Amino acid sequence: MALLEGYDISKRFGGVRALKDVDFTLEQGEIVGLIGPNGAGKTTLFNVIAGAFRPTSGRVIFDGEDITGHTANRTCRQGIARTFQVTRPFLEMTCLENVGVSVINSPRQTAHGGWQEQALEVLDYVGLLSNETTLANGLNLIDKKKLEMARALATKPEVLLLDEVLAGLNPQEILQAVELIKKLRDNFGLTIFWIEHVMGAIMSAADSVIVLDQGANLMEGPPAQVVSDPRVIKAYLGE
Amino acid sequence: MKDKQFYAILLAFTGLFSLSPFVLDDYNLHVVIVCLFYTMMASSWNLIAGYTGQVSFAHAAFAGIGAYTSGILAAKAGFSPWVGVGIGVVAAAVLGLGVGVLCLRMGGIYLSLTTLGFSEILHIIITNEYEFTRGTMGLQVPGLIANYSKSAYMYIFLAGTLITLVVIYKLIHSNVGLNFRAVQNDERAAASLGVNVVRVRALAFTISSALAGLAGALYGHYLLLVTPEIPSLNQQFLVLSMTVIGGMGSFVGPIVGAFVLEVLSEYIRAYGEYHVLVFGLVALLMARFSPKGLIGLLQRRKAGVKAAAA
Repeated sequence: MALLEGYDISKRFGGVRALKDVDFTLEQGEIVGLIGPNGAGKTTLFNVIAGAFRPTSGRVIFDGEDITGHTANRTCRQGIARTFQVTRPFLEMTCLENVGVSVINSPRQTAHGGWQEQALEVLDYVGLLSNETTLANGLNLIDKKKLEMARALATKPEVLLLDEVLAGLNPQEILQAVELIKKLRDNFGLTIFWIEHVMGAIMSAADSVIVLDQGANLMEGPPAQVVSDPRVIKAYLGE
Repeated sequence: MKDKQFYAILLAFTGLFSLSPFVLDDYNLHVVIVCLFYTMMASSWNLIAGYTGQVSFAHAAFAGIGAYTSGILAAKAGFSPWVGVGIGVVAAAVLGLGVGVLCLRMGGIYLSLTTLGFSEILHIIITNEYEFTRGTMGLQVPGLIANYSKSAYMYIFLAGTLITLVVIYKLIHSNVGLNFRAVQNDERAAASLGVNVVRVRALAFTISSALAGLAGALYGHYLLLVTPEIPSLNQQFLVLSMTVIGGMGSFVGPIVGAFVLEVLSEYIRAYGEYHVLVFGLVALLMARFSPKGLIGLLQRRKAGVKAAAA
């Protein structure tokens, strides 16, 4: 059974139709890439799924339940975590406290230990253990991205929405990040919906790819097939 | 700061203040009592303004609600002043929850303006409902104890301050406190991580208002006269100055601010109302050059000394 589905999702901002009848399906344990030119509506779709925006019409189904229009915090508690394209750490709080916020608000925490222990575990997992007491303010871009990821993971989600986590990383760091994302699926059975412009990463990690163009579904399929499709090339490069 | 350390320091100060009635004359005891009143006010305002970033201008108004509720019940309805104080706290909490919920979708300047409006409306009602409040003349209220003595009031305010500080300390060092700071740092990010922003903000407003109500109610029964001066904007800006100058968002800051400014204002009393103007200017300068107040300056100095020694 599909874990996360969207039907006919539309979102209007005044006269602008940011999303037009978008459909998608994610099976449990899948990594699905979401690509499309700038302004295609990828982040808007994430905002609708994560409860930041209510869609103008359409429905989002998670684990058989209609979660359309649920608030952001409720969606998160139900098991859908997200990262932001531009990282939004709590700047005046330490890395440990940043991750602690996720821990204390998640209904799916393991019983043992306080939030500190659990937050440390997650910091260790993403490789931020040495920055435990550093204010998020003092982190460089890569570490801010790791922190963003750690906070999302610490909510113990079933679905992870990743919004351009690789932007700004060098090739070496991209390789590491892709390995991490694959590990999340393989070790924890996470289902991952992933907006990305780094095609190589999507090609190597995604099971399938959904393409949006001008707010509507353009096509979907296995990565290799999608990137060679003339419609996709046209959407990115023009005639 | 570890819990044990906090309680040790608190105990030490309690001991120190307990001695004050034996060494201070009535005038100086009065200054101590007023200092404790402002400690309660500034610390509880810091809880919403410093820890959740909701700069409310209605804090003095909630103190006024506590003072007038308790005062009217005791003076007109014959309630025991202690019961009155209890009901005053509840009234302030309920109205605080109301205003908090009203302001939920607002941030920054809009929240400040709405609370400012609430504060002014309350002020107008109190001044005009002469029959209940005796307007600007002030309402004479009974004291909390049969034999009025400054020493007894010092202990009452010390107890009130201890309650306030322990409640705030417990709160900011709990999960709730972590949520407070998350909401202050970035509401949207907090919501995306499962924080119920609506509940967190309303809770902060309710608790902070209840504590202001407690301070106001006790203060009214100490002065034996409840006037619209308690819920006035003057009062509000004084509390704001104390918090900002002491150090907003730190636990100790408002306490330091309350004592420094109250003692100072006793010394420059001769210059009349100008002291509020001076405090306002100093608060402005502080906000510009040392946003973490006196506490921030001290910490910076300490860090500087350490760096120089290394």
